[in-house]
Amino acid sequence: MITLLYIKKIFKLIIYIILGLLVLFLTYFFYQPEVEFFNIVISNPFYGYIKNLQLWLYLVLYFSVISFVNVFILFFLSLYFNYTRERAMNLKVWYDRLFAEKLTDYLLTDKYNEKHKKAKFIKSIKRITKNHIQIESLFSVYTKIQETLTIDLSEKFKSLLKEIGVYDKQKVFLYSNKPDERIIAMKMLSYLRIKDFEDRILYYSNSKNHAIRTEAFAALIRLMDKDSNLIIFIGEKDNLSLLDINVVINAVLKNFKMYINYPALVASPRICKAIIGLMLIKCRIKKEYGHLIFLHKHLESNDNMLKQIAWDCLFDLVPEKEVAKAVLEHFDEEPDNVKHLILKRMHSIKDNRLSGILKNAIETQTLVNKIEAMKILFNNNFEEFTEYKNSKNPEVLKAFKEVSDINII
Amino acid sequence: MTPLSLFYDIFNNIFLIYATFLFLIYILVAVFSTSELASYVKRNKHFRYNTIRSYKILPSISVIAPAYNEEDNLVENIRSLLSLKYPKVEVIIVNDGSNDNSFEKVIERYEMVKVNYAYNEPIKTKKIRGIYKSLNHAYSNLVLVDKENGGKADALNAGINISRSELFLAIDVDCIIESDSILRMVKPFLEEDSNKKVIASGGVVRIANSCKIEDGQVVKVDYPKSIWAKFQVLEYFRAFTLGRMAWSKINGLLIISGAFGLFDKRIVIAVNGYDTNTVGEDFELVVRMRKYMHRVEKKKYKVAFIPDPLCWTEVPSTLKVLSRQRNRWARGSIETILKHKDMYMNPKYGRIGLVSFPYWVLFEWFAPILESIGILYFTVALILGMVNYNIFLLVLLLVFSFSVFFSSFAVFYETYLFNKYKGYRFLFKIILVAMIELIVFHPMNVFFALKGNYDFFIKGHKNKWGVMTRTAFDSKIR
Repeated sequence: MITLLYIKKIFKLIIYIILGLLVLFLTYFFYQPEVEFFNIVISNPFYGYIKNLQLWLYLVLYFSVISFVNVFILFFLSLYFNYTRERAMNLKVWYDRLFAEKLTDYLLTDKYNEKHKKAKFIKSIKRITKNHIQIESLFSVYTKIQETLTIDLSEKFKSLLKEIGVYDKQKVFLYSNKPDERIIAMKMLSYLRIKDFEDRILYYSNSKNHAIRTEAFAALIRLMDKDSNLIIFIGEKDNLSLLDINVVINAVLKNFKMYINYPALVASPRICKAIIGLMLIKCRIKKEYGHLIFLHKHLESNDNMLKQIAWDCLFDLVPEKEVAKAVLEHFDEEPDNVKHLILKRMHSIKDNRLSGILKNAIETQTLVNKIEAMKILFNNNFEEFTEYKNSKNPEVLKAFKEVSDINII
Repeated sequence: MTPLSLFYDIFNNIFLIYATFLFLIYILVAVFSTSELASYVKRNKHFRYNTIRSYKILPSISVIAPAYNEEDNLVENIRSLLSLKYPKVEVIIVNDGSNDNSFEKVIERYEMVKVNYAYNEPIKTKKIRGIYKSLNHAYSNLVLVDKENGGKADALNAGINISRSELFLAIDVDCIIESDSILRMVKPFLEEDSNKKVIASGGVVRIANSCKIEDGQVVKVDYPKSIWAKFQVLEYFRAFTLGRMAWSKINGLLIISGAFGLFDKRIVIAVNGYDTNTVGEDFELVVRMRKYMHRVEKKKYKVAFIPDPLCWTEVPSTLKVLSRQRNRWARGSIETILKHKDMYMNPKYGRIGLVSFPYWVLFEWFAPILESIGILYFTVALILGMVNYNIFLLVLLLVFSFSVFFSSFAVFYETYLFNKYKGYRFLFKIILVAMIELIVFHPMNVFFALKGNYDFFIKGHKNKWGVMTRTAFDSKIR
C-alpha cells in the first residue's frame, strides 16, 4: 500500500516535470524555424512572424498566448467544476438519504432477518456501491449513525460490507493520500472495531495535519480494548493543541471508556496529558481522584491553563473545607485570571474563613475580580455588601454599582 | 548617445524592471495561494465545526460592532449577531453617537435598561454616556454601549474596554455574518501550538449587493446589478482568495479586514487598541500588533486567515461613494506606512520587514503613482514619436492577457472551492468584466488612489472618513 502511495506521488511529480518541460520545449520550439526530433522534422508555422522579434519580445508574445490559452482552460474548468460539483452534491445528498434509510432499516430493525429478504437487500445495496461517491456516502452514513447511537452496530455492518464486497475499501481509503479519505477510513475502522490497522492510525496520530491527527486520536480511543492504553499514545511526542485536547476529551466521554488510568494521566509530567486527566475526572465526577490535584501539586504549576483546570476540578471534586483551605493558601499568589476563576467558583462555598479573601479581592484586586467578589457578598452576606456603598475607592464603587444594578434588575 | 535617448533608456528600463517584478509577484501569489488553499481544504474538509460547540475548554469571545446611524438595519443585524453559534459569546453594540433613531429602536426592541456596568479604560476613548443590558433573559449576552461620536476606531476601543472576553471579533454591524463563522474563525486559536501564538485571524469578505437575505442570513447569492459592484466582486475574489491566502502562506499578512477580524484582546490592549487618528485603522492595528510581537514579546506568532466566505457586506455601487472609499483606503495605507517606516527593509522584523512591508510600499502605495508617471511618460514619448508601436502592442497584449488570466484564476478557485455564485451565465459575465476591468475600473482606481495621495500630502486630509452611503439591506431583510 505504502509503495503504491509512493508510486502515485512519483507519477504525479513526473507529470508535473513533463508539463514544465513541455512549456520550456514549446518556448524553444516556437523560436526556431524547425526542430528535428528522432529524425522527424517539425516546422514552426509561426516562424515567419517570430523571426523578426527580439528574444524578450518573443517571450512577451509567448506568455501572452499562454495567458490567453489559460483563460480559456480555466473558464472551461470552472464551468466543468460548477456542473460536476452541483451534480456530485445532489448525488451525495441523494445517496446519503438512500443509505440512511436502507442502513437504518438494516441495522436497527428486523426487516431483513429472513434469508431471502436479506439476499434481496444485499443485492440492492451491491448495485449502488460501485463507484467512489457511493462507497464514500455509505461509509459516511454509517459513521454518522454510529456517532449518533451508542449501541454497537459493528458486527452487522461488517458482515454487510463483506457481502457487498467493499470491506477492503476501508484499507484503500486508509492508505489513500487524500486526507478526507484517511479520515473517513479511520472513523470506519474504529467504529467497526477493526484493530488490524492500529499501527497505521498510531502513525497518523503524529501527523502534522490537524484533521488527520485529531481523527486518529478519536479512532484510537474508540479502538482501545484496555482503556488504560489512553496514557500510551496521547501527547507523547508532540504537545497537544487545545483542539486536540478537546477532541480527546470528547472522544473518551462519548465512547464510555470507563477504565481509564486516571492517576497515571493526572500524574503525567506532560502538561497536555495532565489537563486531559483532570478534565476527565471533572466531567466524570470522579471524586475519589480529587486528592491527586494536591498530590501532584497542579495548583502550583507554572502552566496557566493547567492551573486553571486544576482549580476548576478542585471545586467540583474536593470537599468544601479542603477547597476553602486551598483557596486560603494559594489565592494571593495566583495570577489574575486564576483568581477570577476561583472567585467565580467560590459562589457555591459557604465558609466563613473565606471572608478575608473576599475583602482582599474587593479592595486590592482587578475590577473584574472585585465584581466577582461583590457578587458573592451580594448573595451570601448582603449586609457586608452594602458597606461598600460609600466606598472611596472608585473601582470598588463601580463594582458595587454594577452588582447591585444587575442583580436587582 | 544623446541625453534624451539616455534618459529614454533609463526610464524604459526602470519601468521594465518594475513591471517584471510585479509580474513575478503575481505568479508567486498564484502559486502560494494555490498551496495554502489546497492545504486548508485538505485539513478542514471533514472537520465538523459544530463539534467545537461541545468542547470543554474554549476561549470566550466578544463580538464588537460599532454602529453609526444604522437605523434601517441595526435591530435586524443584532438579531443575526445573537444567533451566532458559539457557547461563550457576548455581543457588544457600540452606538457611536448616532443622530438617527437606531439607538432608541434597539432599546425598545431588546427591552434594554441603563445599568452601572463597571469597566476600566486601558484605552482612552470618547465619553461613554451609558451602558445598557436587557431585561429579557434571552438577550443576557447583549450589551449596548452609548458613547459620544469618535469614529469607528474609537467605538471599537470602547467595545474592547467593555469586553470581558479573551478574544474579540471586530465586525461592521451592517455585515451579514454566516452563523458558523465564529467556529471557523476561532479554530486557528484552538490549533495554536506552544511554539506559535495566534494573535489574530481574518476571514473572507464577500459582496452582498443584490443577494437575497432572509432572517439575517444570505440565502441566495446573485451577481450584483451595478457595474461598479460587479468589478468589486472580481476584485474581492483576487484580494481575498488569492492575495491574502498567499500572504498567509508565508505568515506575512499585514491586513485583516475591518469588517471582520478576530483578535487576541490582551495583545490589542497591550498595543493600546485601534489608532483613532488614522482612516486605515484595521491595517495599522495588525502592523502594530506584529511590531509588538517582534519587539516586546519576542515570540513566534501567526496571523491566520480563513478562506471560507464568512462575512457579506454591501460595497459602494455608485462612483461617488466608491471614490470616497478608495481615497480613504489610499490615505490609510500611506499613513500606516509612514507611521511604521522603521519597519521598511528592517531585518529585525523578519519577513514582515523584508518582504511584506516593502511590497506594500513598492507595489501598493507607489503603484498608482508610477503607473500615472508611466502614462504621462508614454504620452510624451508618443508626441515625440519615440514609441515603437510593435513593442507597445505586444507589451499591452501581455498586460491584458495576464490580467484576465489572473482574474480567471481567482474565479476558478472561487468556483472550485466555494461555488457560491452558480451557473454559466455568471462565469460569462465575470470573464467579460475581467476583460473590461483593465480599461474602465483599473484606471479609476488609480485615479482615486492618486487623489488619496494628493489629499494626504497636499490638502492634509489625513483622517477624514467621508460619507459612506449604503442602499441598506432593509428591503431584503425579512
